[in-house]
Amino acid sequence: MVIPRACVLAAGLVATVIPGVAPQAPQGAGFQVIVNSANPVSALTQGDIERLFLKQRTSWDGGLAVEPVDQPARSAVREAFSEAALGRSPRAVIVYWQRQIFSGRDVPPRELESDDAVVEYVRTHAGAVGYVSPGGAVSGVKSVEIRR
Amino acid sequence: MNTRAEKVLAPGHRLAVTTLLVTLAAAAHAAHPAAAQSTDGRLSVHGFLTQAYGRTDGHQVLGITSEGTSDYRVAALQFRFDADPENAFVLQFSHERLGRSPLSEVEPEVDLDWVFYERRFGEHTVVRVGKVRTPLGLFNEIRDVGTLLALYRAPVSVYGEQVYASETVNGAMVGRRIPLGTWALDVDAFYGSWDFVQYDLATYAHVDGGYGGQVWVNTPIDGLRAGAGHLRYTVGNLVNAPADAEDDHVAWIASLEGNFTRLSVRSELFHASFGETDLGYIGKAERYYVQAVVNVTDWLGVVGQAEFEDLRLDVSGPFGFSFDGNENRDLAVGVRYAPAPNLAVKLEGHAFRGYRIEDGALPYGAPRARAKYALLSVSTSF
Repeated sequence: MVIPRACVLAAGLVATVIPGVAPQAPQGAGFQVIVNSANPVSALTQGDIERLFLKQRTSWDGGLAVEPVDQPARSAVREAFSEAALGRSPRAVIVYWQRQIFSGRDVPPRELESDDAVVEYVRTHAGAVGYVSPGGAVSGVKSVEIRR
Repeated sequence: MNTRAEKVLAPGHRLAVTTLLVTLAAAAHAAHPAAAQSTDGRLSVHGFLTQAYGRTDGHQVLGITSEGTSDYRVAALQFRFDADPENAFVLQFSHERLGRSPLSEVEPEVDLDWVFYERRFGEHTVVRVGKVRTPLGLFNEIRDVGTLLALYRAPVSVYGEQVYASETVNGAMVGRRIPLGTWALDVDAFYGSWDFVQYDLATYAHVDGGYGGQVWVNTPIDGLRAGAGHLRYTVGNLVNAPADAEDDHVAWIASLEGNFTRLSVRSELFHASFGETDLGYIGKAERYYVQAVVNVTDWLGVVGQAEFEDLRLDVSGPFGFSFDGNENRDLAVGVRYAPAPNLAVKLEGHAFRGYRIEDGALPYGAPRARAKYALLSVSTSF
């Protein structure tokens, strides 16, 4: 049986416009975003955070290079951050980075093993941005408000 | 019956392949991409490996035989050095085996896949110089990465696993993202040279000054995008043609992808024209596919795919002929089990009908051959 090309492409067109699951709005709980205390930024939107951590935005307004740092893939704080701030599951974020890596485009942010390591990195790197568990000690860095 | 002997690797090649595969296997325990970076974050090492077993019910297709073959794999090891946020160097080696495919006889065991210097200009512009992956269609840049593919390979109708296919360009590419509110355009252009093996599996055609580009329209619906690509080049060193003969090729590709949580659908149409009256042949090819993946859970997906290749070919001269119709068709269903993003096990069955068989010449116009084949594969990446 010959299947007309137009039918094949039309089937693809119809099926691809079925919308997916909408990203969740930032919840503000489950993580807190931190930047270096010298960074003038005091608030970020979910879109800002997504672009920073997916390396689609690579410099702060003053021109300083952005250095995002991530948490371990199976940590609770990363799961909360991925779902709420990046609008996708940790698994989907890993797949996103696989596509970036193997198309030769980019590599994921550095991954540090704990909240303390993230705080220390952000404290000592002027362009760094990270996230830590809510209520965790963030001395020496600045916690950023997340705006909708 | 297949009479082609298995290719025997020279000791040096065997060592290189073994080293590559062992390195990949040892590194694959890392569960996520960020784990493969140096302590200062400047050097990253990544890789992927897919090992498969394939078997057909008769004709040999894509190197798969009726006896079955496990000499079927693809792997790569990538090194990326980010000197600073603007400058990077990338090097990737690859290894591929295609069972009893004649291509496995002529392609190197370990190949330099890419080597390029990358320079970023601001937030949205990047330039790469060297041997770069051609940015064309949904899959060309990631065509061998099993953990990112629904089936063993990217749709062969459009991406080829055969002669007259090149995956890279020796030259330069420039890419730019253009944000347009909730939409965004990704624009890539490339220029350079490349070689590809021709139907005699001995003569490499050469392309100089080939160029093309790809535009993606990213919609406000997360995961939905549409694209169009173009490729134009002149081929020299043609087999069975005068030394100065050249053939102009022009190709277009249209792509549509919806990649959502529980459903992914992709469709692409590739149109190419080639040949010259002086060369004794003129041809047009149209190839298209639709692929759907229903993710029953995060780790289990069901895949369906239909591929078609139409050809119009007019060959003049004493042995001239014309062909106009469906050249090849491949219908596939598969199951994809991915307990982690860096591990996928796939079982797929294909029903093929066409001329692309490898156990005997099948002239155009003869009844198309039929074959069913299955592939079981395991993919990992880090």
